[in-house]
Amino acid sequence: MSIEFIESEMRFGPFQEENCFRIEQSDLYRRIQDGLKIPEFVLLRSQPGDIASVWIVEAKTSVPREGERLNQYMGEIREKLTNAIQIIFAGRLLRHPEAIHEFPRALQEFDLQAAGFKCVLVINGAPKQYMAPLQSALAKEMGTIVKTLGLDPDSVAVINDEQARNYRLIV
Amino acid sequence: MLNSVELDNFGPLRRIRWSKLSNLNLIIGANSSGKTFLLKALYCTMRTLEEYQRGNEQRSAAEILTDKLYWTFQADKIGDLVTKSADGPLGCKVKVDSREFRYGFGKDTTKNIASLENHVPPRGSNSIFLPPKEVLSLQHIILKSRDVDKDFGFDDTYYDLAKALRLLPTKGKNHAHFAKARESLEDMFGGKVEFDSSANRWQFKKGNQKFQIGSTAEGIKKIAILDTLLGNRYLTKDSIVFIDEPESALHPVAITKLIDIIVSLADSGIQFFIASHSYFVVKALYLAARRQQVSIPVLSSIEDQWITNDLRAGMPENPIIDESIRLYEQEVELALG
Repeated sequence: MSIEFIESEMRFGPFQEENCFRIEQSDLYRRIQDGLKIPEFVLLRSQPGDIASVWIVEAKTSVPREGERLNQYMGEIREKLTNAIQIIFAGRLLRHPEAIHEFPRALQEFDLQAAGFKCVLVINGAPKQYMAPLQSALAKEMGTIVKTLGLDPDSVAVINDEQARNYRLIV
Repeated sequence: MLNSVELDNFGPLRRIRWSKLSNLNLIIGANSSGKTFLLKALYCTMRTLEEYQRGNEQRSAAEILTDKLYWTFQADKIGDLVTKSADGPLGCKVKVDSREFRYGFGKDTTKNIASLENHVPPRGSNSIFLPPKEVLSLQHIILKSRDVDKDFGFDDTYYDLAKALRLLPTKGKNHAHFAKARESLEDMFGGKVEFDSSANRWQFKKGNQKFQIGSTAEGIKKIAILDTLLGNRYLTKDSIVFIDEPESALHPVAITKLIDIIVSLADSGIQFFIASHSYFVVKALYLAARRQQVSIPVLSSIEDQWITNDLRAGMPENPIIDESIRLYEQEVELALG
């Protein structure tokens, strides 16, 4: 069954239900949610014969507001994306008992050692000319987690709704 | 100040119409688009107005302009400056302090500029052209090449600058904005460049240490030029400063600081024309325009056309900006593709 849902005024999907994990709706999250910020969803993508990639997606309605510090804005995104990666790893290591029931099938089965991770921030309506520095800022902010978890250096992307549509994240 | 510019068939510049100029003006475009040529054309025009009737100067405006064009563009004859494929003559019309100055000549012109009309009263200020490369370490060579040998090579932008730097610093209280700007310029590198008249050479002083100019970083020497011209009062509130590629030899952090200083000097009355192909320069000026709500007219070369915008209204569409977006898109494609 395919699902679609709205986040930050964008309709995400359609995704196969067994490939998409909406963390916020899980019992796992409800149990540990105090003080824990998380992104919108995790999506498993793979072509037959290819190594799966894990897309961790956060959505925003706007670029940093005037007066809002970019490092604060990006710090919060980093915290959410990092928490999601850690929940996935901890779930696969069965450190959370709910994970075995709640993780969609693809998330339970993907090759944890080989899979690529893609940490994606989608900003609705952001003009292209604002995106390059935001991309650099988030890549810098995510530098530590990318290094410590051995992710590819190009695992981080900041895109707008138009690009998200091209990458089949939204309809 | 220079209020507006109209150029026709001026070398690579087929047609330029640029009005509502402000104290900060930006010219952007790819290599060989004619940015430097435009700056030099405006520089020659302004220097003609400034030298005309100054002191005991006897030459007519047309004679001064001919010399200036000849020694700046160093063509065999000034008629060679007319666009090769053009049917009509070269034409230049500017408004300075709301008064008109115009001239024009054809391809066969060697010395006599046939058409020149000047309604601009004599100006006491000095304009200057700051080239991408520093000139402090070449000053003696430039002066000898021009004063003694009368050779082509270093054009009038270099020669005038070398002469302007020869003026000794003036004692007494400088204009407050200029004094502040000089402090900021000297803070950028933690020292200052000074002329040692006993040794007859420039040196960089940092604390108690002195360094030969030859071993001083290129960026420091570039900044020192502006510092020196403010210190010796060659530049005054009505001066026009033409800066070609301020980004050259400067770290992005230094570029941003330099732009901040330029913005503050513009606020005090100096007019700037900056030619650049640096994303950092464009962005820093855009932020200044937005933050201070000041007009920064920008003239962009896009596919052989010159387009005018104002940075106060937003970042202009331009290959420099497009390239930063293209690189970003490649990065996203690498991550998500």
